[in-house]
Amino acid sequence: MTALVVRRATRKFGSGRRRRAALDRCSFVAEKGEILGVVGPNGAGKTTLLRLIAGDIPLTAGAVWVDGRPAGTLSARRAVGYAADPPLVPPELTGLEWLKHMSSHRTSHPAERTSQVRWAVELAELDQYGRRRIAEYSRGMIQRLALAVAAVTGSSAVVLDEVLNGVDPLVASRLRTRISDLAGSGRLILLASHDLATVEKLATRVLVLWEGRLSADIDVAQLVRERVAELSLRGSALSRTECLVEQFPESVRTGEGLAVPLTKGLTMEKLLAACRSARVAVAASRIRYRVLEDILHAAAARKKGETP
Amino acid sequence: MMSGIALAFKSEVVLAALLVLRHRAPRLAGLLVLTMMGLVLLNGTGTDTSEDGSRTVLLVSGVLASVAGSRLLAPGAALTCAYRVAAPWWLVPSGRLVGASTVTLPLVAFGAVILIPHPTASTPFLLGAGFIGYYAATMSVTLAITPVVGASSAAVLGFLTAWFGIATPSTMQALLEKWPVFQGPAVLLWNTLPLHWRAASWIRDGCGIDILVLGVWTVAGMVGAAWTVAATHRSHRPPRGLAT
Repeated sequence: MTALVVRRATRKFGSGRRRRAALDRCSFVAEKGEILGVVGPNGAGKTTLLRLIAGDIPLTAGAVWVDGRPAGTLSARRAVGYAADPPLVPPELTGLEWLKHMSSHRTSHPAERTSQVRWAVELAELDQYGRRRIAEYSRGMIQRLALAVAAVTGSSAVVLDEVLNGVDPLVASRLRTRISDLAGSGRLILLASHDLATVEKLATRVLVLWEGRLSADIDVAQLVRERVAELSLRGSALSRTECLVEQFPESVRTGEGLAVPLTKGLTMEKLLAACRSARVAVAASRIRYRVLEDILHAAAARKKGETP
Repeated sequence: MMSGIALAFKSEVVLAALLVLRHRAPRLAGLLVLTMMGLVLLNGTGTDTSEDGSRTVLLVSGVLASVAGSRLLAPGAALTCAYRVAAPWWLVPSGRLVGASTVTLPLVAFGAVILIPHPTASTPFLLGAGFIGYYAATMSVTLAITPVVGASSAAVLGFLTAWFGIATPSTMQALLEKWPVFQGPAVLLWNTLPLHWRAASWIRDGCGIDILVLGVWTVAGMVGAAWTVAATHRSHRPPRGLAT
């Protein structure tokens, strides 16, 4: 069932000569129960996209529908839970008071609210800190509180912007499971993060944004089936990679050499043969799974190639 | 059984009370009022006339309303959550106004009891309506301007109007006699705004227009607060009717 439709969504900021598109004609559709990762470098438009979906900012052009309702309308906003980065929480209140307040706007009975708050506290593992003032919380605790609030308020979609930033690794790994469970309950989860490993572990699909454009829409299951050959090059070989890059346009320069996706029938043997014929000495080679970082590097290389 | 709207309204009331109680500025203002009243009570040096007493209570009321009101939609979490809760437009401003009143209006009532010890039989209604009307108008206008100018500036503006609003329009006219360019607008402003002198005039004369002006400003302030909360997020609506 469709939870989110984004059609040529565009958001521009500034005016006159300084007017710039933070998000440019971005289109995709997401189903309920999906975990959609959103990755990209700083300024790629991740937060802008999430804020548009949450109804925090208006669109300049295009359209966004949440659960069949135009984003930004009262009914659409009531369907979305949003954990912003950095989270905005009142330091004067305790975590429990804040959760109760936000939950009161989504429930119709005090008993229902109590059970919702209890569920959210367990979800974000806040039981020890619930009665403390938010002013005393660490960054990680505030992030967990933001996750709990987003979960309690988002009936159709939960939008999480860098929500596991600053959370300790042990709790973060348990929270990842809980976020998966949230998706299992029929909610759409949108997860923007620079932590590519987390996105890979959680997401079923990943959107790569680059300079406001949707650069790739990747099925994570497909991604892990792909392989990459990593070549370590030494000395003068490092400066002779031009011909290899020309021969394998999807290859990406890494700090130690080249990473070449083994697609379209390319094998390690063929690659090493190409290196020999180009007189590029390979110090070491290995085959590994393709990861999101490769996609980002490839997008960066493409962008660099386009720039005159 | 409590409906969704009632539960949401109650939670806004509680949130407002907590925001006022747990911030140092309204707490300090409340403490100063209590200290002042305590000194009056100890020395037995109340005001000479009922009018002086009511003016002092109005001043206290204006200061408390502006300081407490400036916390309710302060930029940050208080303002953001007012939008994110996605409630009907009137719910957040009215709930927060009621919540802050439950904390600060008792102080105004305490001041009234101490400073106006012997009201005549006809005045309790005039006093009550005057204090509450002025308090509500000041607070709701402060609520409306806070998202635009910020919490500190809104509190300062409210504080200044509580003090300078004591002057009547005729006083302003006399003061600005040498500057006719400013005289007209200032007098018009003084006649329009929900200032201290208007509440004092209601308490003294019981003229309906005074309380009506305060009431209109209370409603306008709440509408303005709802508008300013949504203003930063106002969207141009996409066309409806897409088959999803």
